[in-house]
Amino acid sequence: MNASDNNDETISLIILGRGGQGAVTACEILAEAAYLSGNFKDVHAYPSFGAERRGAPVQAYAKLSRAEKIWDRAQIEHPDILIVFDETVLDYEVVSSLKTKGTFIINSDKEPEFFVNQFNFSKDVKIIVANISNLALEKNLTIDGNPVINTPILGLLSRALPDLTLENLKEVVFNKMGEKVGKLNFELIEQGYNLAKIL
Amino acid sequence: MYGGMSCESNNYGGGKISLTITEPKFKTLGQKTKILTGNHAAAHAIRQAKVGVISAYPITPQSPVVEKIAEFISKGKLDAKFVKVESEHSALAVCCAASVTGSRVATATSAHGLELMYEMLPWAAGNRLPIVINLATRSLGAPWSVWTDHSDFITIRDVGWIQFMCESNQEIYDTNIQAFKIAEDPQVFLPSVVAYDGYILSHTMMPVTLEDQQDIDAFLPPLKHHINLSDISQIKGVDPVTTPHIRNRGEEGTAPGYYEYRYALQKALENSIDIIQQVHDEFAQKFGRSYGNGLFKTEQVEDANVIIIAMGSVASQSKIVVKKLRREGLKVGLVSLKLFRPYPAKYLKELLKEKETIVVFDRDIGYGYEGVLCYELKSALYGLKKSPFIKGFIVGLGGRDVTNEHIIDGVNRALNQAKTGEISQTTEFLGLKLDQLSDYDESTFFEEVKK
Repeated sequence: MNASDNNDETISLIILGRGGQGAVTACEILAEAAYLSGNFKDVHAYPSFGAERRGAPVQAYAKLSRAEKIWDRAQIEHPDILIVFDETVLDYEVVSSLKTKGTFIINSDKEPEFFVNQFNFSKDVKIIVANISNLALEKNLTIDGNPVINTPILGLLSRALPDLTLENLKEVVFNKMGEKVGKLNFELIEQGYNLAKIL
Repeated sequence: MYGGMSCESNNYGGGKISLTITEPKFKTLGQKTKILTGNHAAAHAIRQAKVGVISAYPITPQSPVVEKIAEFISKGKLDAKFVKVESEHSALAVCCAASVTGSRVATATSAHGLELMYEMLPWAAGNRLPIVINLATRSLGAPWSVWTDHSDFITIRDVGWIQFMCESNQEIYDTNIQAFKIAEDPQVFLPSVVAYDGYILSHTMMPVTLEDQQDIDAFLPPLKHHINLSDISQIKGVDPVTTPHIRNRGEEGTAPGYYEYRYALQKALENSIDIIQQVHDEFAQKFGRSYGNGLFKTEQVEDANVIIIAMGSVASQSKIVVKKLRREGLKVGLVSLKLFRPYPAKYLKELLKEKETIVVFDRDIGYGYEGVLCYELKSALYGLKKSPFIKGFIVGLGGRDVTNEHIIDGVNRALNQAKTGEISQTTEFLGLKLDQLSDYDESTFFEEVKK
């Protein structure tokens, strides 16, 4: 059994990233945007409990509930959605915990079919892929020379969760980052949304 | 005279028992909802309570509370003095000193930070200082762990503080605002702890409604302290050596002995239950959010013959279990303890007097005996004509995940023991993973693990 079995309307989500890449911030933004959309009664966003080190693989989590307040306080065992910042942080154990009808979102230059083969996903798993790193590098949205992934990849999430709209993401990103940086981030969210390869 | 001594004129002990839990009927005031961690919800409440002095020492998982407060002060959003210190002991010593000047005072801590404060805790209670501590709960070492359980929270139950446990970030915010008002009530004047599970609430972002400042101000007026050393002409001193006997002070009359002061402390705690409920109800009316009867929250207790009792994160998880088991036809209910001290014994006795089976889940343990919630409940229900079967389990120490399965397993084991009459006297831990230890051998494990 898993956390979201507790309530059919609760969507559980895990982000795989690296310390310093902003996985927790991504969860915070998506939770805020989901709440703002009015389509979710309750949202939770949280980091891995304990210390995180820059550069080490990290996880961040979110739970989104459409109908009810979230009282589930257990860790997510089987996520509905898995967001992977890049292939180097892929964790086979976590990927295999994805629900059979879950969604797998990854920043990669590969085709969705590649991941079906790599992980032997069932036909019911939705796969959403875009080369977010490349988009960020093209726009020069980098930190210490590394492309910013965490915000732009949320455009792909919007493809999986249509009631988390680009407009909601835009509002949160602008609020958090101010007009100038927010605009740059949102353009990438939109590009990712439009360029996403979906299987 | 300290505020507490006036308690003798109160009609303590005979307070009405109200178990009615009303849904909020009032339209909420101007709201502003943010997505906040539990720690930041606490910090915002402290800011809006217009605390005058904060003194704290950082410790995981509490640190973001005081970091945020420091930020509020530096940005001019809170006009308060932040006193940096070298330890939690000093932090609470500063809080006590600041409180006797008549200032509203708060701090925050966790685990060994609270244990290092311990020496000062009875002083704050005995002096009747309305300090509020936010406690992001964390297990006690060794071995070293930064993750949640309620071990720290239970260690301070006998020193005279009011102790609240919260289940959501909104409840952290709301309870903080109430805690100041309760602590500062002339019939109370007691310090209080507002606790919440470390990480599970302290680091999880949830929607939290921050009320308008003017509404908070109206609900929580400035502190009128019973003691105010900033006016040195009024007070001769605090904490002189207090003798076992009543002292005759000539023209000034008589001074209580230590025994009378401590009697007053106990009465103030007993009386505070009424104030806690009043303040809770007033808050619910004004802001539209309520938490059971202010002492505990219930789910489907009325027709239940099996009752789960838990606190904080474990109670939250149990809400889901109640729904699940109800769907399977088991008449189960939940009592989530919000007020741990003063312990609402007579209210629980009234609520549970006709129940058949009670299953208590402790995210703590009174080492050498059993879970503290369990043995306190047994004590509270003593003297009932027909005593329920009470079975306790230990869960989730040191941040071990507490799942629905663990709670369901506990309920089933308890029902089974109640049915067969084979009551296990050993303290049972749910969610142990001894079988996953590569070379676990029960005969040698206990020898090896202590090395």
